[in-house]
Amino acid sequence: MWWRRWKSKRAMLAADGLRERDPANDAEVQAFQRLSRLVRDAAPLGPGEVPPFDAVWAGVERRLREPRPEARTALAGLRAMLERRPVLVLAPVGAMILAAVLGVLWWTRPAVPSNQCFVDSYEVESGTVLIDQDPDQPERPTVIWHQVDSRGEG
Amino acid sequence: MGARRWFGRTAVCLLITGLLSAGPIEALADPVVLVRVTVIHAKKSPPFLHDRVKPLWDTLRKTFGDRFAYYDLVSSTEREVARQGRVVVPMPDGGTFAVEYRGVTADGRFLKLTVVHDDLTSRVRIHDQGLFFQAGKRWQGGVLIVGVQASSVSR
Repeated sequence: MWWRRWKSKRAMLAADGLRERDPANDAEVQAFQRLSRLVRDAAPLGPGEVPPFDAVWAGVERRLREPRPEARTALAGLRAMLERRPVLVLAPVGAMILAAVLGVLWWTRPAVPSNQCFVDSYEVESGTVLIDQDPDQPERPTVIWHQVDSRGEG
Repeated sequence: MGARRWFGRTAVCLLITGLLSAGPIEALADPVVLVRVTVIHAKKSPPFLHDRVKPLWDTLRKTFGDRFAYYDLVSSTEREVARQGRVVVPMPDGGTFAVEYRGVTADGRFLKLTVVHDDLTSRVRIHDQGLFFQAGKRWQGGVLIVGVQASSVSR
């Protein structure tokens, strides 16, 4: 392995030598040196100096205050599904609302007892029995007419 | 997978909503019932409506139409009875009107009653809180109308 590193180093030195001998690269080298100098001059810290703690902590706090990515809650999942496939959300929600409305209407409906009446049998010794009822109107009470006198007012 | 779970939860919610909307499930055992017997004297005229008959006015009008205009209350009796219990009401003509409670039908939908008035005995089935009339007996220029209503009593 050592000879590979040695060969690489020799190749790098040879390249540097070629670059130094090439006047076309001088401008690029000088531009890099200027940039490097600018960066070094811009850094307030000297070698071995410690950056100010408050400035570091202020940077940390600024990052902490940055909005976190939205947590994956049920509501977020619902929103995502609503955007991707709205039918899968709107149809069940609509069905639930409809069921709730129907349940409320059913629960709060006026109590109208059914007066449906079935006369299973009757026994009479005299007179006439007439069952007066309307199957189409279950709220209308049935009347069992028992008329002994044929001239009855009923 | 998520959609399937969502539909499952929705189905459970719908089921719960339906169960809540259905109301209490009534027991099929024979309940105690409150039997109310209302005896009314009805005539064609003059127009009159007894104060205690006013709650029944809509029902009377719907049932008898314009056959009568005069409704006077003769008596109103209500009593809680168990199965085979009887409510006997004296009639103004000297007779009696008896209602016997025979329990509920096998499917629990109807209350079974036997009504005895003079020589007429009839067996009927009515819904809980249902009402029916027996009429025709002539009395004082009018007709006696007897309303029978039975309501199960929650215990």
